[in-house]
Amino acid sequence: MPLSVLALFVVLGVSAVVVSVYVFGDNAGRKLDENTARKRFTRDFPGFDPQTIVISDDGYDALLVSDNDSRSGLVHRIGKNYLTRLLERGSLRKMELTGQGIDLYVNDFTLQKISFSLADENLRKQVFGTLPSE
Amino acid sequence: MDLIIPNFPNVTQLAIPAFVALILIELFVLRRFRNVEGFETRDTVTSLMMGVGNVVSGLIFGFVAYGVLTWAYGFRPITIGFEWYWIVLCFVIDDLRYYVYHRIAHRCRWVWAEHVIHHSSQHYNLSTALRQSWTGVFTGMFVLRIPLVLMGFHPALIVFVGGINLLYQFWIHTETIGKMPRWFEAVMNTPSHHRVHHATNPRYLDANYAGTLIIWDRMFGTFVEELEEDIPNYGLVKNIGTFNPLRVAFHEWVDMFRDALRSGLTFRQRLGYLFNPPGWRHDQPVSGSEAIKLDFVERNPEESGKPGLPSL
Repeated sequence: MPLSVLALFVVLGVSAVVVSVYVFGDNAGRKLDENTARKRFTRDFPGFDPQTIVISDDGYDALLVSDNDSRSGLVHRIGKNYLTRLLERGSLRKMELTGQGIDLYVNDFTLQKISFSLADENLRKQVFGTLPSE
Repeated sequence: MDLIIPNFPNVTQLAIPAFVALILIELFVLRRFRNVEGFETRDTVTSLMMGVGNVVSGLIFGFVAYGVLTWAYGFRPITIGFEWYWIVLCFVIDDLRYYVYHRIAHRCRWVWAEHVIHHSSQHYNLSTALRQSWTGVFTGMFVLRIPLVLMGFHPALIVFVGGINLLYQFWIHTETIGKMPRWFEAVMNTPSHHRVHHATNPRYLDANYAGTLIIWDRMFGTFVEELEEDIPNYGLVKNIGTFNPLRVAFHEWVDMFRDALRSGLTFRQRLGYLFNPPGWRHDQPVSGSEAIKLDFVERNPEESGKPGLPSL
C-alpha cells in the first residue's frame, strides 16, 4: 500500500474514532469515597487493613493508613479508573506542603506528581506527618 | 528450484478501515444495548497512538527481522511452495510460534518490557487491540521464526500468516461478546479466553497465551476458563499513571534498567531483573504473579488447586 494511502487511512480512521468516542464515550470520572477507596486498594493489596482514609477535596485521590503496621497507601484517579500505590520509604522523591494541599513527587516513571488537595490546614499537616520519608 | 513468490498483501494495513468500522460499531452497541459507555477518550487516543507508532516502527525496523529470516532461509534443507495446504500448515506452526513468543513475553522481563504496552489499558475494547508495542524488534523475538524458515517456508509466507494471526486477534478484544458456542471455545481463541488473558485477577494471571488456536494452552497447561463469579479486572498488576504515549512505550524498559543497574547487586541478580519474570525481586523468595496467586489461595483456601491457582 502506498505510504500516502496508508497515512490517509490512519489519519481519517483515528480522527473518526476519537471524535466518536469524545461524543459518545464516557469521560467523566467518578469521585472517590471511602468505600470505593478501600475496595480498590484492598483489591490490589489484600493484606492491607486501612483504619484511616482521607479523601482529597477534589475526590481524585485517597490516602489510606494502616494503624496496625503504620503502612500507607494511595489511590489515585487516572481517567475513569484508579491506580494504587503502596507508599514505602523511597516511594516519594519529594513532598511539599502547599496552600491547597500536598504535592507528592512519586518515584514512578508514569506517575510523576500527585497534587493531593486538602484545604483544611490541620488535616493537611496531619496527613503530611503520616507519609513515609523520601 | 525457482520459486515464484506471490505478492502477499499486508493484511494488517489493509484492515485499517475495518478496524475503524468495528470500533465504531462496538461503541454503538455498548451505548445502545448495554447502556455503558465503555470507551474513554484519553485511553482510546493513547491506544491508537500506540498502534500508529507500532506501524511506523514496523516500517522503519521491519527490514531487521526480514533480513535475518531471509539470511536464515539460505540454510534450508528443503523448499516449500505456496500451495494452500502449505499456507495452512505454515499458519498452524506459526500460531504455535506465537504461543511460545507470547508465553516468553509474560515470563521474561526483557520481552515483557515491549509486550506490557498491550496490557497497559484498564479498558478492554477494540481500541485496546491496537495498543501495540513500539519496541518489539529490540527484544529479538523474531528469531523464533527461524525454525519455520529452516523448515522451508519462505519469509514472505511467514510474515503473511503472521499478519493473518494478528488480524484474527482484533475481534477478541471486546466485552460485547460473551461466550461463543462450545465447539468454538474448545478450539479457537475467543473474547472470553482473551478477557482472562488481559485480567489481573490472581487466577487469571499468566494464562491463555493463544494467538488463534486455544489448543496450545490446553495442551501445555496454561488454560484458564473465564468464570462468571470472577469478573476480570483489566490492566496491569501495577497500573500506569499516564496517557502519554512516550511514557507508555518506554516505562517498563526504564523501570527494568533502573532495577538492574541499582547498586549493591550481584551480576546474577542484575541478570535476574532483566530476564526473570516480571515482578521478580532478588530479596524475596516468592515474587511476581506466583506470590499474588499464593497469597490469594492462602486467604481463600477453598480455591486451592483450581485452574490458574497453586495447591496449598
